Amino acid sequence: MSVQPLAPRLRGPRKRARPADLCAAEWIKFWSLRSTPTALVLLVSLALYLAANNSRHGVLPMAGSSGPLNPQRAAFDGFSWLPAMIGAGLIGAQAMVGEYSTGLIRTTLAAVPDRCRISVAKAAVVTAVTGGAALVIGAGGLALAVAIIHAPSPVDAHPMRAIWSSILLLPTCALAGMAFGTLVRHAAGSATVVCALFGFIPIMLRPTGNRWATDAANAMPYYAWGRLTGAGTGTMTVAVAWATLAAWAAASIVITILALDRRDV
Amino acid sequence: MNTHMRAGHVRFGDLVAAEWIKIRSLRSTFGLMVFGVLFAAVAAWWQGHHVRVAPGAAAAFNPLIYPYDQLTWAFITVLAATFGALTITGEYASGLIRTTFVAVPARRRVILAKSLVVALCMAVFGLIASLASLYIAGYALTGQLSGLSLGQGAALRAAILSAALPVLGSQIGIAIGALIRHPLSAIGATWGVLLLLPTMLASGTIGLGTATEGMPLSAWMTLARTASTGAHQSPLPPSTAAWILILAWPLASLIVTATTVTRRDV
Amino acid sequence: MIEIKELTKRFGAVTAVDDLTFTVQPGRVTGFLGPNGAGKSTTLRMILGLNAPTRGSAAVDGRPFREEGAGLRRVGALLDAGDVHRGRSARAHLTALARSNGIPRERVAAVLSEVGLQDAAGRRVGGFSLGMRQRLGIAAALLGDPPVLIFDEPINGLDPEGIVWARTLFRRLAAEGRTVFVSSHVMSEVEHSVDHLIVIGNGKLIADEPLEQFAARATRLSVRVRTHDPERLTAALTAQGGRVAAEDDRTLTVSGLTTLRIGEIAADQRITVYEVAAVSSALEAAFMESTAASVEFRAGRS
Repeated sequence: MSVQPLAPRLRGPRKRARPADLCAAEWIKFWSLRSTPTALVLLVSLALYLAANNSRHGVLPMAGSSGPLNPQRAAFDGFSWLPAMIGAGLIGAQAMVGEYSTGLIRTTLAAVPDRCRISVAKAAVVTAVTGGAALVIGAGGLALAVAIIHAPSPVDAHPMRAIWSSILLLPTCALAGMAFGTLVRHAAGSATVVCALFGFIPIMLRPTGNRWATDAANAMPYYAWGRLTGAGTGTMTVAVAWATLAAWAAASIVITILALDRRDV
Repeated sequence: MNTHMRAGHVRFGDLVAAEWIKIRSLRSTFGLMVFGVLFAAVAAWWQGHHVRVAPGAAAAFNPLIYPYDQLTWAFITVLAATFGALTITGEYASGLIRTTFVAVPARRRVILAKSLVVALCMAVFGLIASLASLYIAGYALTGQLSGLSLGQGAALRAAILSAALPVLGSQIGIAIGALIRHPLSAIGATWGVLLLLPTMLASGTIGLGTATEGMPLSAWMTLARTASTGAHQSPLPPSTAAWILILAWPLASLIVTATTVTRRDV
Repeated sequence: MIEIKELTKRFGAVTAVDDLTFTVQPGRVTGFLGPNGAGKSTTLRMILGLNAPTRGSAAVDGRPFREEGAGLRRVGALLDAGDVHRGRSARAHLTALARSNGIPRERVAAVLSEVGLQDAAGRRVGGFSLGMRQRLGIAAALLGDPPVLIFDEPINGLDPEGIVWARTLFRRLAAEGRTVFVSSHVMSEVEHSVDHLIVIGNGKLIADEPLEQFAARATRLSVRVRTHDPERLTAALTAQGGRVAAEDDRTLTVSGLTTLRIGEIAADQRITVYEVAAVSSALEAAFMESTAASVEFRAGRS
């Protein structure tokens, strides 16, 4: 049996890889493994459970803020989003580290030598998936909270800002995870960095206390996001908070692109 | 080849030696331990440095909360657990596990040897970190609080129990690594169970009040008297329960690891 | 066509590839031989842009491979059958690759049938045998219908039917005018399937010539001869420069003379011989002699 050559109109090499093709390929790769969709579902379920739980039992706010329980506070409680942040970071790391650890990166780069576009395509898919998860957790959590608390007016201030900032938060964590994965190239190492950065640092550093700790804490995505959701845990202005999240995302993408492009595989 | 091989039974000492060779050649082994000791030292100094005690009010303070700060030692426990998880997930991910179990089919003995080596490493690490914390915090607090030396009974007890914490954590990490063989997920789960879960239980985010007392760190806080008396006091287990917990966690982890690894296909 | 010019790669103090220059021409199957550790895989990786050369260049059809947009359509490569994610199905793996190059989905089914994996396409690659993973790698190389094909140890793990299939496939691809570059250690297979040879050792080029020419380098061939009259034959062969050792009372092992020469000598002396067979192939002997100085990993004598 002989393979038919490709139809003539498709022959001839392209100069540049098409972004749509690359994103579609990365999308197929993401969903064709059992582990990543399972992790995503677990993450979203856990976050929604915590939001519902917060609404039922009340939530102890972090030091530095106080107020009556309202649905927005319950749905966007900082600690309840920590698992989602870590999970998003791990998903982002897996997108790169998974290829390195199996050797698939060689197949991928031999098929598409344009490494810059591969990085961007992976970033796009991971952003879309975690952004979608953030939408479900944010909007869904808010709806659950409103339903459980029966508050007369659903939220205090800026509910849309809370949702939008959450949609920016999880992809930022995922992109940072991808950057660590590309730098470290080692599953356990990148996972440890992600957990330490997104799980431990928010608990350890608080933006109260001395100047150094405040500045360091405010630079963390956790506190920037907290400022935007109305939890009041960050002490910067709204504009700076948005900029912090955007800076993390942008820096992560740049690091990923450079790290993949410069090194031998 | 002319070497004469001894036929039959593998001695447990040989298994332990083999596991030690494998573990000491991991890059992360010494890296994690050095980092952990440095972190404990810096944290102890930081904690001691920022305390201002009015003379005469020293009696109201429990000096042990400074070298053995809850958050710092939670982090150290998690680092130790990460190390434990790594020793197992690394073997599964690289396929070395097959070589290991073909070389020594008695899986339970291999697991026992591995757990023992990890525990010994973590005991050394814990001891160094614990003593460093004690004396550095003591130095930072000179003139304000006293009681931070090994001569004092309470301090000695706290030091020993704190040295035991990483041992405990590492066994839990091994169990998680054996259950979840995927390295990224295993490490995520380790940090989740040992850091996030107790925090969330304590803050009431997850409403399983009694489970808070069951966490390893709660048991440690009771026995080592390192609980701070701040506003957000989470419930602590009574002494006997705490002793049982300190022993039960590593034992249960070992059983889980041995059962999982023996039952599963490799 | 693959053009290598002064290609050099150093890893710290180790020079893996040292000033290699050769060209792989289209229309024929070119073999890439060398002892373990000679630098074959490193060279192939540099051709594909996976490793950056310390010096020199590698170009495919005139352009460096890193500048390509759709790599599969220019070079189809099988480097390592294990470079796949074991959690994916074969079909998903190929579909993702095809999609990244804008190759239509139907092509995936076509290459799966070509390599014989159409029934196993939905199964996880983790459950595949080595031979199946090799076939999957060959399928991935064929996806883009490329003019240049590179195979590193393609028949490793294939069953005899698979080996014959692979040989026929490489010949057919070369006959279609493509450049086929195959690295292998199995001398008997190389003899049957390869036209031109490039041999390297210790990172340096040892030979770049047609197969027959390389095989003729062999000087220490040994031939097994069976005859009813061993003493007379021994004397005749020794007189003509051969070295003869008696295996048993009917069999001689002769070195230094080709089978043709031995047949002629026996005919001249009117001695009946009923078996004249080369014990080691000319190619294997030529390879061992040429690379003797470059062998990195020599197993110990015990």
